[in-house]
Parts: sequence; structure tokens; C-alpha cells
Amino acid sequence: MLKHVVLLSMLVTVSPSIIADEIPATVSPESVGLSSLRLKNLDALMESHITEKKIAGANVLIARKGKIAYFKSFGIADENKPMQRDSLIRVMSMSKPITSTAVMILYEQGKLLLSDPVSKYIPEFKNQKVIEMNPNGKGYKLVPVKREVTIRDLLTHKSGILYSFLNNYYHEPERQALIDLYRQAGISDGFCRPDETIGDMVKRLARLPLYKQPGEVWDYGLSNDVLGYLIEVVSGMRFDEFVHQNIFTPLKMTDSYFYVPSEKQARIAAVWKSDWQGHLTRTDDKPMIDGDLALCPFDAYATEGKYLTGGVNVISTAYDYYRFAQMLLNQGELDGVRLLSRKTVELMTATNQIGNFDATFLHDHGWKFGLGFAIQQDRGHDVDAGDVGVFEWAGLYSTRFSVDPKEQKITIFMSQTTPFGLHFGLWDKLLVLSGSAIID
Amino acid sequence: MKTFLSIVLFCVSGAALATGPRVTSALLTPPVNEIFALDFPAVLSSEIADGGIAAALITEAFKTEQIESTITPLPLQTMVAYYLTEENALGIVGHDLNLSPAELKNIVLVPVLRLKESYFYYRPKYETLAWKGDLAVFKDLTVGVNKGEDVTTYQKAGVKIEQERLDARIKALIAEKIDVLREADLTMTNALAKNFSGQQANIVRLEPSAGEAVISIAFNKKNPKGIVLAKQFQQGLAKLIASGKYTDIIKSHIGKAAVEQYFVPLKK
Repeated sequence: MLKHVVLLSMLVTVSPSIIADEIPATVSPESVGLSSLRLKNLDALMESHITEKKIAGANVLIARKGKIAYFKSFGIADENKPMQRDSLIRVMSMSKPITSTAVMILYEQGKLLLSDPVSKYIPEFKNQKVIEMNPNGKGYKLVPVKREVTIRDLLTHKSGILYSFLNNYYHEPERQALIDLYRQAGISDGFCRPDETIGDMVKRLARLPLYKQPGEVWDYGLSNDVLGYLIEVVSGMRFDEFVHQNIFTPLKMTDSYFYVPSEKQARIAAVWKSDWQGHLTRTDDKPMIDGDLALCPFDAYATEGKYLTGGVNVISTAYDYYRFAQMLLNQGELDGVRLLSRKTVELMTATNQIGNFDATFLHDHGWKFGLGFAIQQDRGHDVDAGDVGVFEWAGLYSTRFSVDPKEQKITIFMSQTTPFGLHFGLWDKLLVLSGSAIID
Repeated sequence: MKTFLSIVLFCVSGAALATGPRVTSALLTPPVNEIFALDFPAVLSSEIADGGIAAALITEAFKTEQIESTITPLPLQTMVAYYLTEENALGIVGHDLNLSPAELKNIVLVPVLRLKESYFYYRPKYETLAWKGDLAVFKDLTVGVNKGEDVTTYQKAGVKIEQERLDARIKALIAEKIDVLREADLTMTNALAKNFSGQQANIVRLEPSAGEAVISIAFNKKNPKGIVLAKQFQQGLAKLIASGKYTDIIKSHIGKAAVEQYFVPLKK
């Protein structure tokens, strides 16, 4: 079967893949200040990863000055199915910037303030406690919060709410004790969708202790899941309906869903397990459990459901996500439709949201976190996206996006590969090649 | 002059409000007579507007004695136990509180609500089960019960046990990983309607009832107010039952017709 990966990848890269009607033709790279010749380096980079069976397939899109200059599909989406530009991809945590945008739409409507305590909308967040280990190492105590968790804390991941799966990587007694409570209380990271509403989960989560005092930690967690429910409370709409009505529809993101309708199911790309050494296996319909990480890529094939997570729910395409990213790059507007004001996008991309903390989770020192994504603050560190002010985020099945406001450049990489951590080198190179194609 | 001073004070306090911190600990209202409750879906839960039937009954019984109270539902038995033992809470509420003999010595236990409990099985796996009230029928089968429930009688009868949250037990039943589950009828009815509506016809309740789930308050004798408030609460609860308000509260939550179906009367 893996022979097909190579054969199909060659076919796909030699002849243009089938293009969905609504995807516009790419422009000449030179017309937007990019070098066609230099962009060919990207072809070689991607093809080598396919040939070496590190990944099964991917879509890569580079846009500059509001035009798509490079949009290619490589490899396969599923067994005997080439990756297509309109392949549907689980963007996982790239859902978070969409959720943040939804919150900021309500903010601009005067429905909430970022300084509002979350308990104003979800009363279970009142009188929360923080877990602290006893000095003798035996057991823990629960101390009152010094102040309540605010909406801004959720947007910036300063809430003290954790992800369980990170317990696999960070070993501390408080984290372990809290994740034990999460597990007992059935708190899901959302990578396997439970049979309940997000509200049920969030209300239970609110009554569990926090990892640290609100505002005194930067720790990636379920904050966006809480925001998804908060949007339901504030708007009076189901979270997915709010996002469809206020983001997907106005931006013409016609291939973006929380649950993919049956007529489009065949376009969903499979998730592939890779050891990055040439062993590539298609994941099946069984949960993949690794310590505190539980993945259910097959959940994407559900045509309906009630679990709507603001953290990882969205399934989209490279082109649709480009439209979302271009709206942010345009400071809130796309094709004459304004979702957010310039001032709000400036706030979302401001680099002083997390104080002295650095957004080192996916990036490095010198990176900060705004209201939904990491932002490069300086150029003095190893992870460099090409400019101060570049903002980015990623998804657990190896998807990435990067927006460079100074160069008006967007780079999107969408594969469906697990584990997540192994693709970083490819992404970093891809971003270097995307930047080094600039010729103006 | 007085009016002038009032205006000045008003303006100063207004300015202070306008420039003051938006979120401070001063804004947190400390709960009065806080009682920590273990979630019992459909009966005691923050998912229900007034905390559910049990919370409403407790609040009303205290109110009868002119006492304010705050019920704080928690999702975990370990957290409820923490507040009792580590923070000397006034009291805790729940079923299957799993208290140790030493802890039991330090509490005053007051039953608040008695719910009918049953065993449920999955019809696609079994056409029927010959349950007549004797656990021996379930020998070598796996029964799913609440976390914290005393399982010694099951063990004596040679029954295998899985202890999980209700949704996890229902999923295990459908996945045929357990054979039977035990739960309060009202809780099960609500859970099936809420999260497993497509399986309602396949999950069958066994007659006769398995017994009762009693939701009680455990007042903490170590808390300075524990013993006094336990007595006052018992008085309030007795008045509530005598006046008929106790039954009215239950009816207001689930309707008149369902009272007998789901509850066993609580004696005065």
C-alpha cells in the first residue's frame, strides 16, 4: 500500500490536483514578490518527506499580499486517495484562534468585557480553589483564588486550567494530583468527544481546583473549551451555530465544520501514525491511548454530535483556513466583510498579554501569546518565523499556520500525522523556504 | 452643607468605583453555612437551576428555621471528603459518601431523600435476566456500581464489580463490557434521555427494585456549628415534611405522577 503513497504523490505534484470550484487559481508568485524558482525548493522538501514515508500527505499554501501564490497537495489523504486541495483536515488546536475570534466578536458587540470574571456567565466558576501540595509531600490543600478567572485569562491561557495530556511531559506533584481529579471527574481534553454537552463538562471542570492562581501561570489547557461554552451562554446560541453564522458563513469558509455532513465525509483525510523513520500506518477506529493522551481521529466521521469544543473541534481545509488567516492579516476584514475592527485585531496580536511569561510551548523564548496565538517578539532566539509580529498556532495532527503582517505573507501546512512533536523540523524548514522565496 | 458633603462623597465613591480593580477578592462573596455536596445527577447537581431536588429540600429545611445555607456541588467524592476532613466543613451531602468508621464517629447523619434504585441490563446482550431480588443471579457477571459504593455484598455473592461514573457505566453496558448496572431510577431515566436517547429502548429495568439510594447530610461534629445546625436542620426538615411542602418541592421538580415511581417516603 505504501508504494501508492509515493506513486500518488508523484502524480499529484506533477499534475495539478482537482481543484474545488470555489478555490481561486493561484497567481504568479512573482506578481506578489515571491520567486517561482525558490518556491520549487518547497516541492522538493515536501516530496522528500513523502518519499521517505515520514508523512502520508499534506497541503501547503503560501499567500502574499492577499493572493495565493503557492497551493499544492502532496501524497495521499487516505488509502488510494490522493491529497486534494479540498481535503478535509482536523485542524485541532487551530480551532482555538477561531474560538478567540468568536469571543472578540461578542466583545465588539458589547456583550462582554475581557476583564469580566468568568463566573459572571458561568456561576460554577465562583469561589474557585487552587491546588497546593502539602509541604510534607502528603496530599494537597485547596486554597481560595486571590482573584477570579477572567475571560482574558482564558484567551491567554493564564487561567490555571490544564490539559490532561501534558501530564505526559511535565512531571510535577500539583499537576499529577490535579490530573487525577480531572480523570475521576471525566474531564476530557476533547480529542475523543464524550457523549455530553460542552456545558456539562465545563461546569464540572469549574468545580475542580485550578493548577495555579489565575494570572500567575501560563499553561496551555482547556481554556478555549470553557470559552466555547461561554459563547453559548453569552450569545444564547449553540457554539457551532454562532461560529457558522458569525465566522464561517461571512468568510465563505464553506468547508469548515464542527461535524462534517455525510455528503462531504469522503473528503476527510485519514490520520497517519508515523515514527518519522519510514513506518507509516493509517489509524483505525480504535482510540489511541498513551498515558494521559487519548486520541480518537475517527470522531471526525461523526455527522452530528453535541460535544462542541472550542479547543479542537473544527474540521476545515487549507483554503478555508487561509481565508480565516487572511481576515486576521487584513486586520479583521476579507472581501468587503468585516468581522473584527483593526483595534481588536491589534489587541489580539499584542505581545504584552502574558507579562514575563514566554510562549515556549510550541515556540521559544522571545515568543509571547496574544488572544489566541503565539506571537514572535524578538529575533534573538532559535525559533524564528521571519519577523517580529508573526503570529502562529498549530494543531495536534501536525497542522500549522503562520501570519507575517510585515511581509503580508501567510503560510499554511496541513497534514494529518501523529505524534505531533515529530513534524517540527519540517515546519521550521517550510517556513524558512516560504520566507526565503520573498524577492521584493 | 450636608447636601454638599453628600454630593462630594457620592462623586468620590463613584470615582473610586470607576478606577478600582475590576476583579478583586473583595468581590467574592463568602458562602454562608456552606455544605459540600457530591453530584447525584438529576437530584443534586449544578446542572439543575436550583441545584436539584435534594439541594432545594436542604435549603428550604434550613430556611424554615431562618437559617441561610449554601450548597456547593462537587463532582468528586474525594473532594467532598477533603472538605470534611481537611477543612472541617460544616457538612457534606450525598449518597455513597464512603466515610471511614473514624469519620462516621464525628458526624451526625440526617437522611434527606430516599430514591428507588434498580438494576438495568442491555437487551441486545440478554433477552432477560432472572432477577428476583437475590444477588446470586449475577454470580460471575459484572455489575457496574457508583464510585464509593460499599461492594462487600457483591463480593460475597461472587459478583464482579466495576465502579465508574454513570455515563461511563452506561457506555460500558452498551459496549457489553459490563452485564448489569445499578442506579437510582430517576437518575438513570434522566441520563438515558439526556445522553443516550437512541438506546433508551435497549436498556431495560429489572423488577423488583434493587433497593434505595439514601441522600443524607453528614453534619460535622468537629465544626463549631455542626451539632447545633444538625439539630436545627432536623427540626426544619420535620416541619417541612409535616406541612406537605417536602412533597410539593419534589412534585415541582418532577411532576405529581412521578413521585411514587421514583421516591420512597421519608419518615418524619
